[in-house]
Amino acid sequence: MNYSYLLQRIALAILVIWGVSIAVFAIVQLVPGDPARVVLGVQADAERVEAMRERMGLNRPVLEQYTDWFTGVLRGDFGNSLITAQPVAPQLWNRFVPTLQLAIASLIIGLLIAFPLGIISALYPRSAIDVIASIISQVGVSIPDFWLGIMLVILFSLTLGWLPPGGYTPINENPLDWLSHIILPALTAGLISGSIQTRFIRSAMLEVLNENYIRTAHAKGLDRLTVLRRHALQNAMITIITIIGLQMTALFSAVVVVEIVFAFPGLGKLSLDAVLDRDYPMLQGTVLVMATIVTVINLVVDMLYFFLDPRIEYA
Amino acid sequence: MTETTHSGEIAKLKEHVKPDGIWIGVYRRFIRHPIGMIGFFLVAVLIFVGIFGKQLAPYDPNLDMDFAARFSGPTIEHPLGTDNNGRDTLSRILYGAEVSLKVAIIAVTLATIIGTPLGMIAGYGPRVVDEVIMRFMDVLFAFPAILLAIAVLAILGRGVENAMIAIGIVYIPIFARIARGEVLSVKNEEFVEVARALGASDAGILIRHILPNILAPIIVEISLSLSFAILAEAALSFFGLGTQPPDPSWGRMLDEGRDYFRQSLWMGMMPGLAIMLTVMGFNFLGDGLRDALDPKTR
Amino acid sequence: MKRLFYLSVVTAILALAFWSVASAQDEMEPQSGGTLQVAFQNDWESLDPHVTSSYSSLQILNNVLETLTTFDDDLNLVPSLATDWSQSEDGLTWTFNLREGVMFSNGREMTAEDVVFTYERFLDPEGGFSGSSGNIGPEGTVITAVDTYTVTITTPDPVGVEPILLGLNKATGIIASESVEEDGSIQIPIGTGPFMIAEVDGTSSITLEANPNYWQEGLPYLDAIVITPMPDDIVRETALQGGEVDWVLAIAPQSYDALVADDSIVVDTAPQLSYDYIGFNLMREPFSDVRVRQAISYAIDRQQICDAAYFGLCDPVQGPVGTGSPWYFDYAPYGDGPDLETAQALLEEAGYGDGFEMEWLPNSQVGETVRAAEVLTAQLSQIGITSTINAPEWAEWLELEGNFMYDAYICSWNGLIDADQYYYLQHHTGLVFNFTGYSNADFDALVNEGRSTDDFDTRYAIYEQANQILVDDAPYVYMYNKQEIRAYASNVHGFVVRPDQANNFWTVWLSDE
Repeated sequence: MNYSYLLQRIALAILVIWGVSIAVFAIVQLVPGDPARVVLGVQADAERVEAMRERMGLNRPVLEQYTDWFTGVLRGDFGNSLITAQPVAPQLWNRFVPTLQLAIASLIIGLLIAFPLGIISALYPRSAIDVIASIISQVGVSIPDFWLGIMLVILFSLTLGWLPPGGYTPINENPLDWLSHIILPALTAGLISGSIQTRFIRSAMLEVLNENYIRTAHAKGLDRLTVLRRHALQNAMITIITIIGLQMTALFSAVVVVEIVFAFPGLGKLSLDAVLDRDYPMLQGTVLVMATIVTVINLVVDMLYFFLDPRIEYA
Repeated sequence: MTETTHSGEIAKLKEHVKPDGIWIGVYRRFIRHPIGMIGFFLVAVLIFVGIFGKQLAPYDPNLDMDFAARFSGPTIEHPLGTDNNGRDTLSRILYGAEVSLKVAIIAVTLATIIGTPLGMIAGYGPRVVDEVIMRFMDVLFAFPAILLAIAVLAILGRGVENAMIAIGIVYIPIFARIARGEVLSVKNEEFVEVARALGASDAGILIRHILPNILAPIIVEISLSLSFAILAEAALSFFGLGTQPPDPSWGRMLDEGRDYFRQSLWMGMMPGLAIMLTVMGFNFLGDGLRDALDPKTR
Repeated sequence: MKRLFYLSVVTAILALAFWSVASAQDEMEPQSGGTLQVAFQNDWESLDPHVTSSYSSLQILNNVLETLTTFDDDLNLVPSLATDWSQSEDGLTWTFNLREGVMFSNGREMTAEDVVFTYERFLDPEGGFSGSSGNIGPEGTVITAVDTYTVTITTPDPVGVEPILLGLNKATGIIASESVEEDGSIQIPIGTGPFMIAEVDGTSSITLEANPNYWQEGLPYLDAIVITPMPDDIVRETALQGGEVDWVLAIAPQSYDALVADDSIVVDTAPQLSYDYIGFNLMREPFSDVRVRQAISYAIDRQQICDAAYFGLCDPVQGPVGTGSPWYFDYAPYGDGPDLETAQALLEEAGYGDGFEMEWLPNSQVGETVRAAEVLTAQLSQIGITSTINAPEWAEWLELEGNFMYDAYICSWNGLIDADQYYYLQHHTGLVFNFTGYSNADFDALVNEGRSTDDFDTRYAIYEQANQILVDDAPYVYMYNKQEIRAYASNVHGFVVRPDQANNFWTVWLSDE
């Protein structure tokens, strides 16, 4: 086992996260609009805005502001919101949990759709199921997620009244309520994610099924399902892990949109609000956290590759 | 003796590197691919509407307000209904097609002409260059796509032109990665070594020999990212960051349709369908191209 | 026998009467207890009364802080923390006698020292606090605690309307000095009001609890209020209809009919003391020419704008004051409906007979301003004015509006109770809300005079003249006056929709069904 490779990947991941912190700080500095003005509102003349900027620490040199912030982050202190003066870190945690729940729920829904459809259509190419799966996945990939969300809300929430159109209840407060709030957003992201995954799983399975060693196993007389179980799946795992990894990162971007449509109090919505309010520390915090999650997921996928080195055994 | 063998070698090289015969095969395979052809048809319709939509529209999309007929469903005067200000939905969709098309094309062109060379240089050049470039790409890649676009728009200001830049920036790392991956797998092949031995410059090799061989996945990616670009523009407009009022953009129309769903469901359905069909078109086209260019995967 | 019969009948009837009156009273009798689930529209920003300008913040403070004077539901000025007040002979000093035995929510009694502390902090120029401090007084105002329960406010010039200004909103509410954190900011203000802030979860939710030390016996009825922001209209309305929240701050005007039809919901309206308007940049051509502004005022179809922007739940107005206010002036020189001929003639006179190009600046977070802009674009194209729209969100909008970087912006002013609020800070030369650059010496003189005295009839005459000058000069072109709409569950009682848009929760109680 080449552990130095692992260490290298981890070091690179840390480098990337640090790079993100610089990038997001730079972005925030470039964004026009003044948080001092946002807080003071209409009734602020130039003098008062200046005084408020002083109070907010916005007039210090950029490097100082960055170092201050970043060293704070390493200690777990993400600073205080410029708008509410409340600390950012607890907010990040509170919002992170719902986003994580939503991402996982969407992934599960997606997998539940994609696995059966993808595998079956790979096993029986050009059959009726294959065609249906194809059509479903094509449509699913093309639907704008916010539109799907709106349609689901209009149907299940406003017309049928079965589910709430947005909002959130923590799972430990009321599990049923939590479920009713998370179903629609998870369905929205999950259906689309599932459609994308179906195509990948199908082509991954097809590739593997056509490999020579599979044909050899066939020739040896093993039935299809055994072949599938023992050889094809194991080797398709790598591709599948890639897919899941990619989907998780894509989902973290997709949930931003879904959260906004469903007024779901997660990181995505928090970051959009932070942009609109020019709440710099909040924006920096949310983007840094989300980028870190994405980087960590990629790292984990890389490490799984490393350990899942395929060795084929013949019966 | 050297002269003749050289020209013979060079001729062989040229043949290997510029395989005209292969493109005809691609064309034939594509024509026979039903999904790909549907996609081609849809995209062709989009391009046609995008170019001629303005002339085809029966009304002015912004200024013709038939207030008495607000929120109407499909009628003779307004085949797709009207919106909250009595503006004709059909006309707005036709105008919106141009916006979607322009944004998609420019954004993807930006991503391609910046991302592809970067990726090629990273793949072909020394390790240091590779690391530096790809780390930058990783940082960009780590941002959730929509957030990156929103951040860029926050800096540049809202509007259609800036939305193109924002979406383009989001897609640069993807083109870079694909280009780099392809270059890595090709750069140790025979014909490259031969070209180098014959004294071709690095740039020359990249442009004249490597690029044609990696075009296939790039073309496929272009088609797929066009569909993403259309969705992204719609999302940004939906959030109020892309196209500005009163100009019609399919995303904005969806946003408005959502606000007024109690008054008229048609307002929201039409632009949603338009987006869906367009995106499907590009996806189908991409599938067809992928299968035609690389028959092994099916 | 007969007498007995009649006696029993009468007794029975009386008994029945008493019983029904008693049970009817039972239904009307406020019950204590319960938690009200409230949905606001936007996030609150800061909870520091001297900094914030956000409506959500001020409405929270409305229930947590109290002012020396206040306005009752009929908009009469009444005592609150001050029991009475008087003006000195020279008009420069107001003396307020404070109510004794008023406790802050932390158990300490409020005294004159607290008033001095609060107002001095607000007026502190180093503090970077908001321009609303103008409601206490201009630069050079001195606050003194004469004794434990008496405070004086001395201004450099006579401010006849001082008691009125102090009661307009809770930005001038009295806070305890213990509210201030180490770094000088206020995260959770401590006040004397009926509720206190118990828990703040970022901008996700706020919990208010009844102030156990509140000076008014028996109030508030509610145990607690939980406030959540829900910026999305559909989400908020469905939350109300589904029972997740009991009370919402605003509904989308297009949902009015649907909610009125819902039996489980009460929808209540009152004409707002506000106006929606177009503000012109007088530093830019062609808007520097009064004829151009008047032309636009003649050309627009106010009823259509009202229908498009606010679904008809409004009245067209040509001046700032609506019919619901005692300060209403019947002055509408711009005709009964759109007058394109006069508009065209004025444009030609000004040299713009062929029209010109311009850009509207509505605010994307306030949908009706964007809708108004769209309709204006279509309407004015009829007199040759081609327009585009730039709709940034609040942060950027404030930058542009505050720095004369616009052609014409669209906005509204709300919560206007006294005449002074309609005219002074927005249109007097060089004052903090004057974003148009308007400057008229006659007008300045009139509004200065108007705030120096407190006699209604004198003031009415003064402001009538000021109004005429302002409407003729048209730095603002007024469009419409909205209805204030509130919607809440049918088991919520005691809430009054006020034209000044204040939300007073201390009279609210919940019944069982």
